[in-house]
Amino acid sequence: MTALDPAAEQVLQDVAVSDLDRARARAMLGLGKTGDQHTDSRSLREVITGSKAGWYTVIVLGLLGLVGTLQGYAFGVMAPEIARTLGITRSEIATLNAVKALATAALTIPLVMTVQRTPRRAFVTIVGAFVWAVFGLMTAFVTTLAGLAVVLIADGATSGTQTTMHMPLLADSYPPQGRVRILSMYAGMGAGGNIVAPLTIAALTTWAALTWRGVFLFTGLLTLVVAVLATRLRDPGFGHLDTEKVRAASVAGPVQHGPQLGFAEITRRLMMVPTIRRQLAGWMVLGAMAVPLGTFITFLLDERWGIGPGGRGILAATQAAVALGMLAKFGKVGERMLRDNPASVVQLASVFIAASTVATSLAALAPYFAVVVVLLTVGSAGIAMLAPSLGALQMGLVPAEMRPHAIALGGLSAGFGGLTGSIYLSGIDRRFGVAGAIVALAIPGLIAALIVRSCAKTLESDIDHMVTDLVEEARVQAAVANQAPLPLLALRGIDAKYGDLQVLFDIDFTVAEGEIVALLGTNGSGKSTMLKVISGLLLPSAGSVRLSGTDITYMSAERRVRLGITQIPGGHAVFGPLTVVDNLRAYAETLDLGARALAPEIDRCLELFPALGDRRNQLAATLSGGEQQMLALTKAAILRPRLLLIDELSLGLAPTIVGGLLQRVEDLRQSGTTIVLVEQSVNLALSVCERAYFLERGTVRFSGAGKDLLQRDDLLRAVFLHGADAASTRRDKGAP
Amino acid sequence: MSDEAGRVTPRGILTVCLVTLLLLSGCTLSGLSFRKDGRLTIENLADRSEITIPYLLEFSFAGTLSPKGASAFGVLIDWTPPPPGKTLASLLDNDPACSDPLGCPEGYLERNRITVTTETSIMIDNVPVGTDRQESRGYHEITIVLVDAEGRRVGETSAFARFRVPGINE
Repeated sequence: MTALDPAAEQVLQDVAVSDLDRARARAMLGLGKTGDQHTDSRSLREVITGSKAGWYTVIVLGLLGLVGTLQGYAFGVMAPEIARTLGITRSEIATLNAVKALATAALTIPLVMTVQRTPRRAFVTIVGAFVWAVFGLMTAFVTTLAGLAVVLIADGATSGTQTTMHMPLLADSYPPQGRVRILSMYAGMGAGGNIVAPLTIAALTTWAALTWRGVFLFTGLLTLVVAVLATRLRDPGFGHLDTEKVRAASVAGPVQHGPQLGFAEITRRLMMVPTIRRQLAGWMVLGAMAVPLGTFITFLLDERWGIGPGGRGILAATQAAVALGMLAKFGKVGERMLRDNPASVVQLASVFIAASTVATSLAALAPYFAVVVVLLTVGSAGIAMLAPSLGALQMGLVPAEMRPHAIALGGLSAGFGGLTGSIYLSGIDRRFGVAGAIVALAIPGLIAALIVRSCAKTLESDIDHMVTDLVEEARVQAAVANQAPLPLLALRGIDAKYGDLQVLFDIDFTVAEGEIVALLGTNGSGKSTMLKVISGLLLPSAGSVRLSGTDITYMSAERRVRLGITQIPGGHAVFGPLTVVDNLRAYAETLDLGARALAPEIDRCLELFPALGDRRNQLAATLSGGEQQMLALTKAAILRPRLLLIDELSLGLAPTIVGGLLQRVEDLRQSGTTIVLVEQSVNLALSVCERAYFLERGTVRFSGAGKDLLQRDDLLRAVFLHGADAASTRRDKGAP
Repeated sequence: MSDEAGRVTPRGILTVCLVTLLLLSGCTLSGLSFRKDGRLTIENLADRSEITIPYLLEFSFAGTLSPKGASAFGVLIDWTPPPPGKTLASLLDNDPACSDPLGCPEGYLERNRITVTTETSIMIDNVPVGTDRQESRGYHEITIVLVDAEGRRVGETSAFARFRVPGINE
């Protein structure tokens, strides 16, 4: 039996992340500061010219945002004319808009999948811009509703590159110390579209006397020009100015990377971050307010104040100008807030949302038009502040390669919220009119403010978790590259929850290659939960799980099986309605073995328990409890696991049978399998395990040699008392 | 479509262009109006006006009507006009009264406020009552298009205005 190598223990100590490491990493990400690092006080111009990207990236992406605003505005203003030409109703136009929004949101997912492994966001942006331009041009030539639908869906799909790619590209092109200002500048150029758009559309439709077709021809050509300008965009790589820098600063040599996560794994990982979850909830509720707001404000201005498209354009331009001014002022302040206290940024963002909500609701009731203009301007300026403030925070909260995913999830949340909000408001509109609908928007608006504000509670710990993961990963990968001795399995600082109920607290757990380690504790102490965290059936809310140094914390259970981790679940490890052989075949499916290779594998495994071989065609449900556990072990053996997790092998079995099973477990270990054995029976476990961990209420109360655990009466009393209690219960029920 | 550095390759651009051309084949390049022709104009009803009915609407046409092309005007109240090439009667395709192979009954289109005329004025003497005007916020819409002898819309030329009739549908 093997104990953990002292050299491996030393490696684990070396890769551990200290508070100072975290503070330094946070300072590099612009989310904190340290006394020994000077504050970056460069002007925006210096930040931009000092970066490799220069002015080009932010201006080109900003221009794409601007033409996006222009195209959106053109479609909104020209919709009635389009309807009259193509013979489609206003409802059909509204449906097309909804379909376009849905396409924009839904198609961000495949877009994100194309960039998650290779940093090709610039390429996707360029191609997206060209396709977008072409579809913009094609809008000018459609003659049917179906044609318009196809063009709009494609337009939505390609304009989705803006929402998902631009912000991560900007975040990786410029240092985090100037991030809020850069994002403010980018948002400002998008807002500038609201100034340019009304003027351009007015000029095109009056002076140039263009129809909607002419307008789309113009905007399509303009987009094409910007797309050509964008062809020099280059992807700077994932996080070389922040997260990669943190990794590089954590190790002496070059930064090594472990296996990459897939789309679903990244999404699950993001959803495990409480702040991200809250942000997404916030976007969803905010979407319910913000998405339909524009339509209802248009109706308010039109119906109550008689303001036509021209007047509304002037108002939109005024709002954009004020937003631009505020964005210009906010950048530097936002960066300082992020550096000094990131939580204050979300608090400020929640104030922006609340102020916008209140101002917009009051605008619906205001008796004077001047007051309406002021209130609507305040409302739109508040919303404009959210992109740079929450965007910069979101960019800092997740590793660079996961940023497009975070943004896509945000877009989907806002889109779903918008759809819900539209349904909610159309009902209110019918009953109380347009002013009533706008006032009703205060409800989702204020709820969104509260949700965003609640991010402040979890933000600090989530940033710490993220930087800890970054630094630890870099150090472990460096250790792997240096062939340092690492344990087969290492859990660090694991927290796990079922909903809001936390079950595991800061668990550290290591298992050396070839070892059998006992995991002991009373019922409800968290043993089975820990096995689930190792096998991937449950994701931890904090901490890391590593297999020979490879970070598998967020890997799917299926991938872990392929890496060699197999779990025998307690009490129900076989498929009752299947025969013994089919049980084995079902497990072997995971290995993609052909039928020819499978048969000898099954024979090999059945040799472990010859009694099972005699019953190979018998239904598993008809086997005795001991035979079912034998089958469970056989199923695990067919996968030839590197790490076998066994949950309650002896539960309800006679000692003689358990003895035989334990002998097979020992045989598996001899053949090279490392084993974690969860048991309630201490004596049984320690008969095969040299080392043991003892869990109590989700924390490790003991770890060390089994013989030392036997001296700990304070711990074992609980197990024995519980065991005696359980035994008496079984006796009372007539169990043997 | 991109090389290792993520740069756009000529093959990538070519692929995008080919796909685009394929999609472009679904569009039309002829008969589309990119500039306002301004030939058809409503003369005595500004957009978003209030009127009382009956109201004599006057409009003008700077072109000439011909038997082979645009031979009449189609005047529609609270209808989105059909696309070019479709008849005005197609708006009532789903109306059970028009399910007869011979088409709608005599005068049915007019009763539904779809009028074909060669005159440049028309009397508005009724507007829909009891219909849901929520979508247009109480405004009625009048659209004038060009039609051929069979009532088919010709070209994309149109004139449009919205009006309210105080006391009705508000």
